[in-house]
Amino acid sequence: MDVAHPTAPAAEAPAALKFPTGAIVAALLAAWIGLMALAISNIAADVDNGFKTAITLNAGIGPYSGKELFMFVGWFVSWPVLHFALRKRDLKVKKWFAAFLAGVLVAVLLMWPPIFGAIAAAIQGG
Amino acid sequence: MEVPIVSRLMRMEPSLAVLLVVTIGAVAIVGFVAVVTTPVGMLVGDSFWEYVSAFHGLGATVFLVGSTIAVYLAWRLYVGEIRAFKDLKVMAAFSTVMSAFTIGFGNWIYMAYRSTGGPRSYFLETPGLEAIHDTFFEFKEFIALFTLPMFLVSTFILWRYGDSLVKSKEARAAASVPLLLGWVFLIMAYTLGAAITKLRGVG
Repeated sequence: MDVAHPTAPAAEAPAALKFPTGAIVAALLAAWIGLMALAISNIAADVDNGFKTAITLNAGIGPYSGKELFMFVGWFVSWPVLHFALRKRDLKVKKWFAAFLAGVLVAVLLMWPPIFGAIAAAIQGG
Repeated sequence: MEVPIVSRLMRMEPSLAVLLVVTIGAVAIVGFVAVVTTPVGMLVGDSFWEYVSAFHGLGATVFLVGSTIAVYLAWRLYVGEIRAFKDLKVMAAFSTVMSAFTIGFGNWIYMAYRSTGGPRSYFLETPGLEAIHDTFFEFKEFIALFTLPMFLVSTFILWRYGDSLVKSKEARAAASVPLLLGWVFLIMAYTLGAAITKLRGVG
């Protein structure tokens, strides 16, 4: 009986994390959803003055107050939902993390004024 | 002549607690001397908004210092050579708290920035300076918000998975890279904030 290799070689065994990786993916996705909610609400406020007025929840800081609210609601609502949906699943962190990085890059670009201004102007023009 | 107590003290290894107390004491003495011998308050200003602005800047600076330490430790985690994992957890959590604190004070000072006669109207009404608000400040106010999700994501992963992260290359990256990104976003917001304040501060 071969007892030297009772299981698969160690190099192929999954890393022994304390919990399945689903919670990592949920945290990353929720953060990205929050950032995109901020970016989209910012463009929408640039396109539509009615929306800009509607999201002005505080006169002192103007529509920025509503944009922040969109970000925090998007983030903190999606996080528990995704967490409980994914926490027992082992997902491929590499794939989801790459998607997260690409998503953050998109969110940053959408927050750059010449870009979001051009997008808003294109939507208004169309 | 050898004095037994002194020579014994000289041979002792100072504990971290003693070093900390001595450092804090020295800083406190220097600070006290500075406050009673010079008009330090003039550096802050005497209006309410200048005090809020000072807290915002001070919070951002403490955030920058703490997060810089966290980024170094995150790099050690990323390459799989971290020893001070507990320090990384603490510094990531501290940076997250400082991010929230600084954003909170940033919202407060933004009221003064937008007020009639404030820096925003100065930039928009001064020919050639419109881009300071339209491009740089607009970007600064948004990119500063990006720091909180980045630091909180890293803090969550570090605290939930603990040092079991060290065994997984992908999980190490997921815990450490958002922290680095948050630090980059902080640097952007910090430098833009300092530059804009130099051009026109709140009064």
